[in-house]
Amino acid sequence: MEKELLINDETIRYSWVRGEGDQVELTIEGQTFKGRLLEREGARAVIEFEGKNIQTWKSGNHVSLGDFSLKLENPRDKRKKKGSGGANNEMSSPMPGKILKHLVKVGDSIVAGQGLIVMEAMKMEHTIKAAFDGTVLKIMYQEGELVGGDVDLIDIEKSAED
Amino acid sequence: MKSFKRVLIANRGEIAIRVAKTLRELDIESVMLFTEEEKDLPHSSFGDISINLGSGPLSETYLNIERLVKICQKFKVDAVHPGYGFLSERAPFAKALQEAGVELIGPPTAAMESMGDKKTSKEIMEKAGIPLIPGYHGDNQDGDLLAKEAVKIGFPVLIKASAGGGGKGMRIVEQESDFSEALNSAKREAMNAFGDDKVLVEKYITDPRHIEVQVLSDTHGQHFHFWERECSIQRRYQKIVEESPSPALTQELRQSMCDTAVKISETMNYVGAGTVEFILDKDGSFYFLEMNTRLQVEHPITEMVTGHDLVQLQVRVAQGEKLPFKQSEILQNGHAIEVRIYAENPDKDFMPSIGTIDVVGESRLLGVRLDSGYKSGNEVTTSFDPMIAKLIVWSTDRTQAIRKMDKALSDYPFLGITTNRDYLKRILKHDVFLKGVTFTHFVKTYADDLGPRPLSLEDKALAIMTNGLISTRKKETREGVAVTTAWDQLSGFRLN
Repeated sequence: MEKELLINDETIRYSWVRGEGDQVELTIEGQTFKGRLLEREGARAVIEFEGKNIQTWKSGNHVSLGDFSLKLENPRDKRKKKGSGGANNEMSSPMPGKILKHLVKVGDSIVAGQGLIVMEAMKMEHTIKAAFDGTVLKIMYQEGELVGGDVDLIDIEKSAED
Repeated sequence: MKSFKRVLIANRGEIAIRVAKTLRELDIESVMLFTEEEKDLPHSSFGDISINLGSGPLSETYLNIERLVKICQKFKVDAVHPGYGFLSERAPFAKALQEAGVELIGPPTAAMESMGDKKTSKEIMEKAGIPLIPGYHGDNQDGDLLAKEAVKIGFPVLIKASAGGGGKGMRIVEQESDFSEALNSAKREAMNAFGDDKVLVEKYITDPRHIEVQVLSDTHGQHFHFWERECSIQRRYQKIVEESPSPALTQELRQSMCDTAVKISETMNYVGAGTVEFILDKDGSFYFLEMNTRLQVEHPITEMVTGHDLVQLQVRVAQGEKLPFKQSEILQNGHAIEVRIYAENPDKDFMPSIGTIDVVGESRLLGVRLDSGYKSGNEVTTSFDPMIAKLIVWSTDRTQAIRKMDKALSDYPFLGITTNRDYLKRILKHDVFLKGVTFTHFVKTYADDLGPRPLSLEDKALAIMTNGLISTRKKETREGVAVTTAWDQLSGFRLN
């Protein structure tokens, strides 16, 4: 059966079957890889991957392959989290901080990449930029207000695409 | 000679732990501070005595001089180790300790004061004949005079607002004919930004390297250097990769820089550990930048190549001991590298990140040193510096040390939060870095090469396999603390 996973927001289709003994055979883009779990200790594992032992880790959505850290998500969970509203990670607060300045106001037409809100976090200024073209519907916090991490700061109606 | 029985560490995180390790080895008790928020962090219980400073802004906790002096008296400490940052270069703290009869493991107050002020420190250096970046810092702001000074310095020059910072009121001028226009616009910008249009003109160094020399002096007039550290790889003016020796120096130039640093110590009758920072130009000229009168973040690489424990030497100097070795006995052996692991996202303009570190990791190499203020399960918040750990390796030569660092980083995923770890690995593997061509603009110049490499099919397959073979979920315990448990949720096959 074909399954789906998001690796760093890219959809990957794969299938896997149980091979000989405790081996797993993973097929992805027509290529098959063999693997086997050798050791597991909490979030850490040693996997025999294509005949070589590799140390990897996983906890929540975070996976580390040694050379790479990546984000791995189930597409279903992702859809659930995002909902159908205007929520967009790019326009939420990256971390707890203070709203310093609004660069736009409700009703403004904006273009992707335009600065919307300046916030201060960890003694540094960060500009929240528009992820797409649209119109500002609502700005959730006033200048000077403290906000938590990963909360929506601004609601934008996306321009109709051509 | 004094003999300390108990020392207060007026710091937190990795440096507090690092200092406590040496104190333990010296059989000196350590008094460790922590705040309510840091209860779970390893430094809170690492020493012999823990003191909870409660909560509140830094000014009421780690930076509250009066409070720290009271703690010293209450717990009868003999001396204070300030670490780096915080109160380590604050003369009022040194004075308050002196009045309370507590020794500061640091330089004399006068040295701290004169080096803490950029203008004063440069005046002292000029008098001592130490090379400074050629420039004009005078009050006369006449345009023709400034232009003449620029010619005297030699192009390219840098016009800088005296009151400046953050690149405002700053102009690089390549040739004489552009000077007057650049001067006017720098002055306008300076006036708008700082309300003061006074500028200075300095020689602009196109390809600078940041090289510093570790010095240490005892109270018996012995002034030593412990060779150099190359710290040119920086982002946002902060060092992220440091190494010793510097790949840029000939033995002759190295000796000349180290001798200059010792001359500075002598000029100031310096005591304790310090770092003299220089800017090195491509032609081999070097200029005094500043002197830090404290232990430096990157001190471990010096410890690795010289075999000396700098904190131990600091303590012995503070006890009044005459150090029993000669300069010629301090050797620079092999090659050491340090990388700073930050909770930040280099692919998003180095934006700091927060979250829980699920797994720190564990080395599978010989002799790797991780100086970390966090252990698995700890939360990284916005309250403190985003530097979460330093990883330090030593090997026989530079190529081998770089390779070892790359492998060492693989063992420390700091899983759960976004860090600069992968980015550091990209720097270590960059051809230009491998060749030792490390200028302070490295990170900017090669920004395009330092972005994330696309995942190969193998990477994706391994990631998916990892996901299938290690399944975890967050489970609430009775205390309501989220812990990560692992269990097998593979469907379609079982593991026997």
